[in-house]
Amino acid sequence: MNRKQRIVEDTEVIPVALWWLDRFLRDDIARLSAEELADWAEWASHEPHLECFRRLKRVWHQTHTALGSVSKPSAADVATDEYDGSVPISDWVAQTSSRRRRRQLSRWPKFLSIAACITLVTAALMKYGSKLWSPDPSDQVQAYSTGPSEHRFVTLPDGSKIILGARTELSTHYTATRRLIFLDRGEASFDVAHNARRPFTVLAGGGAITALGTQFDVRRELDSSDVGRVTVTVSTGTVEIGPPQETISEVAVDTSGPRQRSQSKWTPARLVKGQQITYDSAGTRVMITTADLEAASAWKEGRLEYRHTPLKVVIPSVNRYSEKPIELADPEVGELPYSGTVFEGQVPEWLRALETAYPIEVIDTPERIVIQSKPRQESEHG
Amino acid sequence: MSEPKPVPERDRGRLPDSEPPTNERWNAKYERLLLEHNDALINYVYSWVRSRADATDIVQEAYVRFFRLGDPTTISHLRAFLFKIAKNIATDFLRKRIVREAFADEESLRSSNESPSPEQIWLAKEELTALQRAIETLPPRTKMALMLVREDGISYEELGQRLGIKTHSARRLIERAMEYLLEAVSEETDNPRRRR
Repeated sequence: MNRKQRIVEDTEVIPVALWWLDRFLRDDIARLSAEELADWAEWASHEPHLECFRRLKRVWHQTHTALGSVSKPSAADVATDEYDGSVPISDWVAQTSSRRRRRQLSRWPKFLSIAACITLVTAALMKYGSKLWSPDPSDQVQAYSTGPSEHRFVTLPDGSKIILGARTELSTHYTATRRLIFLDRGEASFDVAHNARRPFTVLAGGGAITALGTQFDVRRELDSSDVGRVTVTVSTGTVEIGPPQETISEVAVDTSGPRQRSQSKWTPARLVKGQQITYDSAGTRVMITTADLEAASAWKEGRLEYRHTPLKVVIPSVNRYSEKPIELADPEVGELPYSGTVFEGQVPEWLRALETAYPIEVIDTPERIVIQSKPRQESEHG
Repeated sequence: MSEPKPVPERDRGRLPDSEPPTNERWNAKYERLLLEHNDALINYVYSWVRSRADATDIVQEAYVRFFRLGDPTTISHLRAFLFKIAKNIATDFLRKRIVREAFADEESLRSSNESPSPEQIWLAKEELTALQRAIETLPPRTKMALMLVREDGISYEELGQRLGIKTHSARRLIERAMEYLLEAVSEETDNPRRRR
């Protein structure tokens, strides 16, 4: 008997062999009835049957060992699996791989037509639209912004990802040699695609944050005098922070916006995972601290978390999630330390709670919310 | 599974027991009985054990027990009784044979004191690798089913309930899995070198 025939015969024999194996393994042989024993004797008297049974038993035992180092299928894969046992698995595997190949092939024409279309448009622009284009056609500029309580996910052409927090404005300037991001206001988290020959730099306030394949968060709060402060938190990898280099500064000037030119020359600092740096627009008061990474990234999940943070630091961030601007009426209020969580969409509730916990008054006007110290007289009387 | 084999019509006859036999008469009478029914008995046992040689041995054993019973006059249905003895022996024999023929490889493995040869070890390893590779390519649900049955030891009924399919469909998945794994392993062991 050749191999082919053997396999064909096996396909009918295996279920019976498995039935017997199951019977023998689940029940003691002593408990089998005389009739069952006779049935076995009849079936096993054909040498190929017995041979199949022995092979099956061997593989059955080995399967237990083999399963120990085999990956568990995911629930999703199990749920979408359509195989029902009606055809042999080898046939099914062959069918599905050819199906997949067909599906991939059928996708090609669509993909090609889109690619062709893009090529056509680009070609047309290159030929007739040179006047529409900025001098360097490889320089791609794109601006992104968010409103109050709004987050936005952006994937850049190089694969880098940005999450914009609420009330955030930034623009991306990509050239062949540089990836520049101007963070004008708000907070953004960057997940940078590694490319050593094309540095990724975020310009925020008086500092430039340069990363090579890393994740970090930059928050730029503008105070009333538009000086503001910038907080950078590194979640993975390393970033370098220093004053912007002249070339970058010039670009910064060209693209304009409410930002100052840094005159000071502070020493660049290297930040590693878990570190946080805070500086103001002039590049002064540079402070490196250990960051609470969980708290620093909580905003992406709709929470602002603080531990012993003065209200003057808390309020600008909360402001970005508030419909009405919140203002601190006096410096005393700004120094009050806050520990706790502000939930997105629950700013009014948070303010009411704040009022009961601190010697403050929250005044809600149609235009703005003002937080001020409680008048001393009242607190003394009450 | 087939029904119990009915005793053939001709085997249901009785021996004339009207007059109590003397020892000599008894022997002659029963010799005749045994000779008369020897072929029928062997055929009967053969239908259970499916082996001519084993059937002959079992019938011999049945005769020995038959005569050891002492005073056979108390037995009214001698012929039927002989067949019953033969069947009991055949059943015991089959139990032993199942252990021998179906589980022989394990027995020999356990009793041999020789350590396996390097080639045996190599083959076993190859087989295990081929098996793991094959398991990884099983359709996900079938793979899951195999893990549940083989690792957790659940029944096909329970497997069917867990997967939301009928018991026989659950069993079918395992049958197909084993069919696939057997193919994979025998391909590997038939041509282990060609595949590398």
